[in-house]
This record gives sequence, structure tokens and C-alpha cells, in this order.
Amino acid sequence: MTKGERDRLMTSMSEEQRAEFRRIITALRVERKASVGRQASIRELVAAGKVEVSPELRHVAEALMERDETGPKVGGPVPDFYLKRLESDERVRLSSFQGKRPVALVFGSYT
Amino acid sequence: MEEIYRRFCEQVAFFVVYIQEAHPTDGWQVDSTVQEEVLYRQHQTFEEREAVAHACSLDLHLPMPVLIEDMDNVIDETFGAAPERLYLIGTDGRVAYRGGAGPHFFDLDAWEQAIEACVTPVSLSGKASDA
Repeated sequence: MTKGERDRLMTSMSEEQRAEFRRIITALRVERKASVGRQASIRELVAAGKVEVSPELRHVAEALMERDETGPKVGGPVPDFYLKRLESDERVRLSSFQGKRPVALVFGSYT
Repeated sequence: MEEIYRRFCEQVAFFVVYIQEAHPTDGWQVDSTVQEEVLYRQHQTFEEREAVAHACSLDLHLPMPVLIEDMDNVIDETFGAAPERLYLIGTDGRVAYRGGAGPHFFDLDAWEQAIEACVTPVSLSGKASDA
């Protein structure tokens, strides 16, 4: 599911559903922080019955679980990238750091 | 986050990877961005994305270098990044930490613990602590 599709799912919820979804998120955050290594997946928490998701919000929770599971897994290989650095003509290749130093990445945007 | 960066920047390469806007004016706009007047449409060109990233870096006083995702958003999708996510890549080139889907599951404490486990932290005095 793309970001656009997830966004449409989120904006299609009623106020009541959003309130319920916020409750679910809050409960999942608590359970996740209490899990081993603070890294239990959302799907694991829901499957274990740690947090209840109503049938009418199951599809929204499924989108959230899918996104939570997307991305290279711990212990697994990392997709390389070669991205332009802000305010520079330089491009940075992620794999150039292998064997030298760890790389901490913060993905995000201003909004 | 700045504190984590200051603490480990000598041992760890930190990067902000600037991706597509989470809440653009022409998409899912939220009250907070309106109230804070952080109003940007979804980037139409790489130059536009870079310009917004520049504004973000200045306004938020980002201490770490910023990389710009290309307009195909491949890295964003591959890393499950949007709207925000934390990762740590070990020196072996493998994932040492994958944060939960942001913003709800953004966990700076867990990220910091993972970084600590990867390096020997240097104290603020500049001396390496005993292993």
C-alpha cells in the first residue's frame, strides 16, 4: 500500500473511528515499549491479544501493520542508496560506511 | 534527538533522509501544520523537495547532515519510511535497529539504546569511557 492509499484510508474514518484508532495506537505504544527490546511488531501484539481491534477498524490496523513490517529487517541486509546531500553537490553512498562506522538514519519531512 | 547526535556523532554517521511530505497542503493536511504554518504542497520536482528540506533544516536547526530522497521515492518505500522512521545500520552493513512505523511508534530511547550497543560512547568531556 502506498502512502497515498494509507492517507486516504486514514482520512476516510469518522470522528468516532479516529478516536477509537487513537485509543488503539496508545495501547499499542504501551505494549510495544513493554515488549522485549521494545521491538515487538504491531501484528505480534494484536495477534497475542495485547490490544483489541474492532472489526470496523481492522482494515486500518492492517494498513498500519503492513507499514510496520515494511523495510529491511534487523540482522538483514540493507538496500544501498546514493543520495544528494543538502547544500552540496556531493552524493552519499550508504554502503561506503560498511566496515567503518555505523549509520543512524532519520527518515522524515517538515510536515 | 540532538542530544543523541551530540553524544555519538564522532562514532556514528548520522543522516536525516528527507522524503515526501507527510502532510502536504494538497494531501492529508492536519491541524498542527496549519497552526504552525508549516504549509507545503507535495514536492513536484527535486529542486522543490530540496528547497523544503533546506527550510526544514534551518527552521528546526537540524544538527545532522541531510540527504534528499530522489523523486521516485524508492528508498522511502523500500525502508517503509513515510512519514518518519528511525534506523541504525551496523558496521557490518546490516540492520542493527529498525524503528516502528512513525510517528506513533517513533522510539528515540530504543534507538539510542541500539546506538549505545554499537559503539563505545564518548562522554561530553571528550574522553572515551572504559569498555
